[in-house]
Amino acid sequence: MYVQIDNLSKNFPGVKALQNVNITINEGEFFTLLGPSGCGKTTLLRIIAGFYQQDTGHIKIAGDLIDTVPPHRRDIGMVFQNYAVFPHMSVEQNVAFGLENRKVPKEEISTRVSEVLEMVQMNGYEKRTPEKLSGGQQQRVGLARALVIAPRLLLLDEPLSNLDAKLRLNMREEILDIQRRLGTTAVYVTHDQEEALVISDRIAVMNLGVVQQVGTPWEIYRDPINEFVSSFVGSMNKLLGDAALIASKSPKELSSTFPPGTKAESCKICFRPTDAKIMSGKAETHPEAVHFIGKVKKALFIGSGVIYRILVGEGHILTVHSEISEHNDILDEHEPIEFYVEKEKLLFFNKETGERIRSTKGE
Amino acid sequence: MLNWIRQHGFWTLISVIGFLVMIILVLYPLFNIVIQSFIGIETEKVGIGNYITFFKNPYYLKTLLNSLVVSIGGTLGAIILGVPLAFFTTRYKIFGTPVLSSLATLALLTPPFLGAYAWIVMLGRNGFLRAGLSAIGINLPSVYGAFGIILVYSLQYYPFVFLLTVNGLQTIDRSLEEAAANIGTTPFRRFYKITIPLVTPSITSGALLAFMLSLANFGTPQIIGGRFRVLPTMAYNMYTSEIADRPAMASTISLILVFVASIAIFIQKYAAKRRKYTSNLLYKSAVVKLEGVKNFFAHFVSYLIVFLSTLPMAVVVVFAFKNTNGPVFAQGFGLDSFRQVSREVPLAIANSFWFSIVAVILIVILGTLFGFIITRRQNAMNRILDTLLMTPYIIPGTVMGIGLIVAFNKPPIILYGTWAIIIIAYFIRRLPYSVRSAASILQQIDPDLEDAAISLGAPPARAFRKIAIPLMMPGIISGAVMSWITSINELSASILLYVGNTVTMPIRIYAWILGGYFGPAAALATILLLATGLALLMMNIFGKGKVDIL
Repeated sequence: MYVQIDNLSKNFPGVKALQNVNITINEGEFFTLLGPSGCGKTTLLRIIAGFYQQDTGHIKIAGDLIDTVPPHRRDIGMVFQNYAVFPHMSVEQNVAFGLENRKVPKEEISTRVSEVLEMVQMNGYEKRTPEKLSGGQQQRVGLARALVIAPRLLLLDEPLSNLDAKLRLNMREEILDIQRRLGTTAVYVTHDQEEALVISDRIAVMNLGVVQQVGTPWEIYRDPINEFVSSFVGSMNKLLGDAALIASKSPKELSSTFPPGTKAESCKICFRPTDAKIMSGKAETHPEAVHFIGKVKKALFIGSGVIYRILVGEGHILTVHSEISEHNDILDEHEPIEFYVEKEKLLFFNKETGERIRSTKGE
Repeated sequence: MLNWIRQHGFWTLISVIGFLVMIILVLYPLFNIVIQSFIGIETEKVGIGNYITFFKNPYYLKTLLNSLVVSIGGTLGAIILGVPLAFFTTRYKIFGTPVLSSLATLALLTPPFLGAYAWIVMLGRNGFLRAGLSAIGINLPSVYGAFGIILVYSLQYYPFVFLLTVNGLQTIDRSLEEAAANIGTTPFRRFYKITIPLVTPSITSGALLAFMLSLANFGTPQIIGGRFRVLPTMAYNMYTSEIADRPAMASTISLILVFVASIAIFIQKYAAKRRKYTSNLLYKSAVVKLEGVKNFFAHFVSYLIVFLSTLPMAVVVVFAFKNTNGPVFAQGFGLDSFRQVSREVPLAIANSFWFSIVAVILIVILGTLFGFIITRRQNAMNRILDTLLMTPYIIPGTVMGIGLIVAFNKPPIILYGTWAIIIIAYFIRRLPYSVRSAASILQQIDPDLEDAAISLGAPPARAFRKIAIPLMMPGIISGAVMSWITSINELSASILLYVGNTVTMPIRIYAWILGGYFGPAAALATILLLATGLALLMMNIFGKGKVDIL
């Protein structure tokens, strides 16, 4: 346990920003705080950095309690959403700033600055001022500036959200590569679930100031602990139990998959659009699957496949993401459609609480 | 916990200093005025007797009415001059707009009593314009009294309305007017249904400034008012009169003045809240080139307005170089008046410079620190401080002067008669402007920059010095120049506070004007104008090049 966050709470006037947060982060881990805006992820990051003071709870880094250490003595590097590159300093001066604060000798500063600028591919830009840099370049400077002090912990507060889509994809891999190379423990904040899945060793999904679930990207995506996590990470089809029975081809087949003691009227049945498969031949059935029937409402061609909006039962719309190889395979509007979902890909949630209802076997 | 205090110590200390400054230099004097205002004139009984006297006696009520008349008149005049000039220069191509704008700013920054004096030179009993015009059969109304005061206020304060309206007009998105045109709105209807409502908040905030300064002005009515009394002059005259019971009444009048100013702010704040528009400024309105008569008219009006407001300055400078014979102007030009100035008042010049420079150093240091804590360290304490810091804004100079005397001519702190009390007056009167200008530039600086510096290991004070200060510098410089200009031109508080050896240039000019020595007054005023102009020029070179008067 490299970073240990114990029972952390923080209130702002009228808002419970964080409630009893418990997280542990391993050394060298890339850890992500994921959640919608206002979930408390940035508050948590700023408490770790020391910009806010928690009301209760403790934070330890490498065994040292840092609760009362002022931010400038925490030795934590931070990368900001809007870059926060000092506009009145050159690239070089920006990166050297942290080392000057630490009274590092001049010669050492210049070697370390040029090393880190090379790492973020900004060598050659030493004398430029920030106004002459693009957003992506400014964020590279922000990253270099945080890394050059060899921080005990690197915090990244939505560092890519101001960049355009294509650059975002490149930069997230670069950030990951650099983190792997240096072995720096990183805490990354984002609201972008795909980014979180791609980049993280582990993710903490947060909502309303409460940590919902901590796990690997696979666990978060495939084994969500509640309805919020399931629908925030990736997309999810949701049907109330009753409606699902009406939409299914064989209610009996569906009800046999219900976890013991679960009633149709008190649960929600969910599955991912990518887990549904369109039936091609009419005759075939899949023994370990549940079958649904409906009508095509819309077929949206997205290049790699088709997204079907399917009208099932009494006016519910489900989404199925289907790969296709032939143009003729695309079904037209109003055509009847049948699809199946493997039983183990169905998730059940309590209708009222949103808690996951697990089947007894396994897990 | 101890560590937490050590960490936040510096800024908490600044908050405490802020409170101490405001309590000692504003609340304590104000409190003294309040106490004094409740002491009966003849009976020495404590009560609201003075207030009853004020509102029962037509003599006082007339003065209140006079004050309102000239303030509202000056404000309306400022709107009538400022709004058209703003429209013409932003919407139409007017040749030499930057020069017009600079001249208007310069006119705003000269002390109003110089304007009053110049208009007397032109239109007074022996005024050269009056003489010239009556020679061709035009007889003007007397410039003394309400007419002269309103004339001076209008020409003095219209630049507030002008500059703010320009700002407002420039932030109206052109597409709003185009959208109105697109759905078939005629140009005239477009103007008064779209443009005017959108720019109204800017006009009213300019008008408020004009009103506040007109209400508080002391020098102008004293010089050009004749027998026309307004509240600041009455407070001053009562306070300085030999009759022992008068200071109490002066205190009562002072508080009524503060009360009227507060109501004006309240009304404007309420009006501004009801109509507040934000624009994400996509593109600015086009500047149209007018043709023919319209073009001539727009140019004529714009140049006339700026000419009339610049004219007093020109008159002062010209008369400084006229030969004099005692108090009378003689034929020809020369340096007589300047010789007299350098012979008689080197002390006033030296005092003016060093008082204002010391005051500005204090204003800049504390104003920047206070501006920082009220924007960056918002907590209950600093929010109260923010409100407190704005109180000098509604206290007219005369009232501040009376307050400082009442508070500091008795133990525990005796400062009356020292140079310190004049510096304090300059300091406390201009501090709110510096705080505001520091706060407004900080609002444009991303707070993450300071956090970034701190996370990189810079202690808060170093982060402030290395990051916030350099980025605020243009604002600090222009704020400093503005404070210096308004301090070196200060009259209404310092005239109450000075003693023989702490005389300043504005006090000397004022005394000479009252004594009829127009020549040396003009020469000394020219030196003051030159200093003001040079300071503005310096700001254009070293500051952000934008005047932050507001």
